Amino acid sequence: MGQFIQLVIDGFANGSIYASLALALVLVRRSTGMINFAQGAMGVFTTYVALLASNGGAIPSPVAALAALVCGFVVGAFLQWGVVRRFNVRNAQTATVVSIALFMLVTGICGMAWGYVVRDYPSLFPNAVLPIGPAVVSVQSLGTAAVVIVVVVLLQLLFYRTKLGLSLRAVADNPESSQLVGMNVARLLMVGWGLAAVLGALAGVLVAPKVYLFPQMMDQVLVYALAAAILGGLDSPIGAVIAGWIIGIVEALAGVYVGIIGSDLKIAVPLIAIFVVLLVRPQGLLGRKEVARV
Amino acid sequence: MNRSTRAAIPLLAATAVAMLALTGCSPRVAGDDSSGGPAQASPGITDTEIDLGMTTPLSGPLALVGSQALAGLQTYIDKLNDAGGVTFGDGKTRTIDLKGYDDGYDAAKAVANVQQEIAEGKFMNVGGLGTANNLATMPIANQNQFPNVLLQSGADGLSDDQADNPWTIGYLPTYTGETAAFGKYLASLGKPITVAILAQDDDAGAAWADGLKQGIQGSQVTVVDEEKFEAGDPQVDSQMATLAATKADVFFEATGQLNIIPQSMLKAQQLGWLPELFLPSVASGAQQSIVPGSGQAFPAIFSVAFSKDPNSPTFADDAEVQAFKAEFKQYAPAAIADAPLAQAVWGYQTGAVLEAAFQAMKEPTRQAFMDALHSLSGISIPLALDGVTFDATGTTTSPMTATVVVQQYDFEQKTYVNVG
Amino acid sequence: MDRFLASGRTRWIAFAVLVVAIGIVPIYAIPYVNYQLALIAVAAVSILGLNFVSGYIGQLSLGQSAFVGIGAYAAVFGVQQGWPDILIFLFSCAASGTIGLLVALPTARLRGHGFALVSLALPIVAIPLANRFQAFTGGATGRSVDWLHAPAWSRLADDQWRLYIIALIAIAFFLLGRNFVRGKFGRALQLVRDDELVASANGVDGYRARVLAFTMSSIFAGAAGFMYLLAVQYVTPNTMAFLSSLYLIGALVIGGRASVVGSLFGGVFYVAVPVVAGQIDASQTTLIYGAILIVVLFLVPDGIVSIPARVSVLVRRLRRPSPRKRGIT
Repeated sequence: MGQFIQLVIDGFANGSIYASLALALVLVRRSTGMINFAQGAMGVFTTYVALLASNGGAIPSPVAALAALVCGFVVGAFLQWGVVRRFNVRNAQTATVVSIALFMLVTGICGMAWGYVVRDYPSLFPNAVLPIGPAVVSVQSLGTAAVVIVVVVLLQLLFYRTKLGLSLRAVADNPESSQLVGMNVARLLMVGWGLAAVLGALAGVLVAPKVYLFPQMMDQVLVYALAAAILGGLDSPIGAVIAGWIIGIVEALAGVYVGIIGSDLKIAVPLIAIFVVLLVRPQGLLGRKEVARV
Repeated sequence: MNRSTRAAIPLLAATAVAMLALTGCSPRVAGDDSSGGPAQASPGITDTEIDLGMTTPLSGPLALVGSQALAGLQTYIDKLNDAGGVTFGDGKTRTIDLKGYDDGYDAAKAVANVQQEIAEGKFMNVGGLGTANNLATMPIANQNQFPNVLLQSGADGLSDDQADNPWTIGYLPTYTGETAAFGKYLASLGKPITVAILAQDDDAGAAWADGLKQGIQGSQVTVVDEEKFEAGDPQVDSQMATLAATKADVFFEATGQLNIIPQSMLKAQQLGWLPELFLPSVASGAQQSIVPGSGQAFPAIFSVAFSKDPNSPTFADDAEVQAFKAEFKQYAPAAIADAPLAQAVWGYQTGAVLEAAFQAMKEPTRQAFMDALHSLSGISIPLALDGVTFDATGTTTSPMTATVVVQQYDFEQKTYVNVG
Repeated sequence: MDRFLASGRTRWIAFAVLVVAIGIVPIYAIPYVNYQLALIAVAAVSILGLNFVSGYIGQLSLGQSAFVGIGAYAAVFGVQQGWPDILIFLFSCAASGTIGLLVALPTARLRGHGFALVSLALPIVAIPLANRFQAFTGGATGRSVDWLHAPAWSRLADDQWRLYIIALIAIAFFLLGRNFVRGKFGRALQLVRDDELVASANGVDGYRARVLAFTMSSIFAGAAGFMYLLAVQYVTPNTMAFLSSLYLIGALVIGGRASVVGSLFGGVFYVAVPVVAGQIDASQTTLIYGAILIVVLFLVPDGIVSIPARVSVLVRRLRRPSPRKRGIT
């Protein structure tokens, strides 16, 4: 029983990690209409910047993390303005290839600047564990989950209570009409990417203490984040987070309790589960149903 | 002709020209080989220079260790070149040129790279890291009588059948040999011991686990659980939960992944499991694993080694290590110059072996090089631990197989000491 | 470009040039060049298959590398059983195609990102599966074969003989693909891509079209896997890596979406860019690849196959100034 509880707790913790990057994916999707395969790599880059900013521990890690977030906004806006804008990303194939190219570019820059060495990254939270019955949970996981929940709330506020959020949604939904009513579409797209990159940067500093910092750090996390985002319904932050938790827990339990799956194939289970869910509910758990007008 | 036809004809013409340009001067049929006769010099070597190639992962999941291997060998070679080069067995002094080729740990790319090296007239392929990619290149080496040597992999397959693969030889002690030594050490303690294994799901992980199982055969040591994870998995929490539940005496890390090992160590501590710990040689460095993983919480940490850890405080005053670190800082790419890993040390050692082989090489041919290499025995290897020797005269083993030492980490002295 | 090829005379000229080139190049070229040409053929056939799903029917698929791997492992099995080569080839195509069909049947009900995610799942799951069935696949180390040597009567070297066979298969599959997309199936696919409601109003079932496209795509991938084993003589689970699927999509778009000839250009791009990147700086291949991809995509957003059309538009515009310049609004 103790092992079961531990697995659920750990699955929940890892789910928060997947959710943190999934939120960035949801944001870029909602504000610019595309899926950004480079989101994880951009988060890695900003985490390296945070490491530089922390100056070997001289600067406290929350301050360094803040630097990462600011850097994230700048990088995201810059990439949108400098690269993404110059392509027809309404076309799904083009958008995919552009973001794949950015993924390679950013990963390559990290590799060139900092090498492929695995580095320590200090956590924002203290390194303690708390007992929960026969199991333990780390303060870091609790902190990560808390941050993720706060971000979800902020995103909901942004999209539904602010003019900026409304503008972002309008631009993603119908850029031509938005332009016609006088919105600065170009600037809004930059802001969208910038904000998404901020979330990606946040994901980076939350994840790096656990998985250690190296250029490919987010590669596999991206797959989980994509899965969480799609399962949750691509435009729903709440859905992405809940989906992330579900994926984390299902994966952990299946790997241990379903003998034929085993620990090496455990990733198959959430993917199959998502497949089944999408068959029944193509819009994901909390996504909006697509209606085609005839 | 319509417009688009007109537009396309230049494209066609360009394609045709490009194809013709690909052709050499003369047709080639079966039986043509490119290695030259016995007496004349092989490609890639002149009176003043010898050209080497290395195909190794420089991108993708193994980029870290692949680039270390390249940087290590490059350091030794640059050092030799700065001193004027190497005096070969035929009396000529030559400088060495090394070119790296990225294969991203992909077998098809590695084969392409070796063929490219042959086409570009390199003398040999040396020191590349990885198992699957190197195994794929062995037939190409055979077909072209192209030396494919001192490959950084612990796989048996690279060296264990040199009758069939005379042009290929590995360098590292085999993974199975390494961990069999530890298994025998455990068996020698003469009491029942339980072992839990965390293995990366590839040939290296499998070989490390197998070696341990071989070493403990017939003894009171038993493996109670083995959990696997894929390369690239960001976390191994569920595996650790299962392993910790066994409360085994020994936690055997059959992985070299430096992002997983410290995580697993921390997780074990969180779960209240404090076994004795085993780390394979590639990951035993204090800075890489013991410090980030809070290793002092464990009652004992073991590893096997054959070379000195450049980041260990014990060797901080060691002349060889200091020289190596200074040279690495000087010649390696800036992003990694301050942090050489074990793979860099092994690349550097490979350079020393090459130097010895070149010095014994009587003729500027590939065959003469292979003969010289196989004649080497008992040469001095820089940064090797005491008692470790190099012997390339065998035909079924890698040159460094014979001697690995089981060590235990001493937390006060912050170094490993021999136990087995 | 396809319009150009539609012209009968140029079609024959192009074909003749290609046949002559394929006939003589392997004799004269060094093994390295023949090897790269073989890999180009493998990539081109994979991309052509992928084009059915991602180009013609417009559905992003990230799993092509898994099917290529299935084809290659199937070929390994055939080689180990000692089957005749034709049978091995058919087995590769059939194994890959069958699994493709089985996957497509439920998956084609999904659309857009759900489909993409499932296709992404394929290579992700295939690698640990391949590692697990070690007895069959050789585990992580993979399997090496020594297979299909040039017969003595041909007086050819192995790499030359294999390249001829690979080229033959590639030509056959390109002709097959071309007929497929020109026929009613191809038109149906594009109709589904452009507007599925209109398609179904016209009696074209989107679901069946997707199943068909995906199955064809996996059959092509199976053939590509056979060709891969023939060229490399080695297969590992890493062949099916997810990254390869991403690179294939990139090459597809650069070559030209929904274009048979574009798939060939995509194959060239897929093989050539890592080589070029390695020449520039072997330690930074990822960065250089990303940079090249962005630049090329920017210069030719519709793919290399659109270059002749763009060139002729440019030429036209240079000769005759645009109406705007004359002050007409």
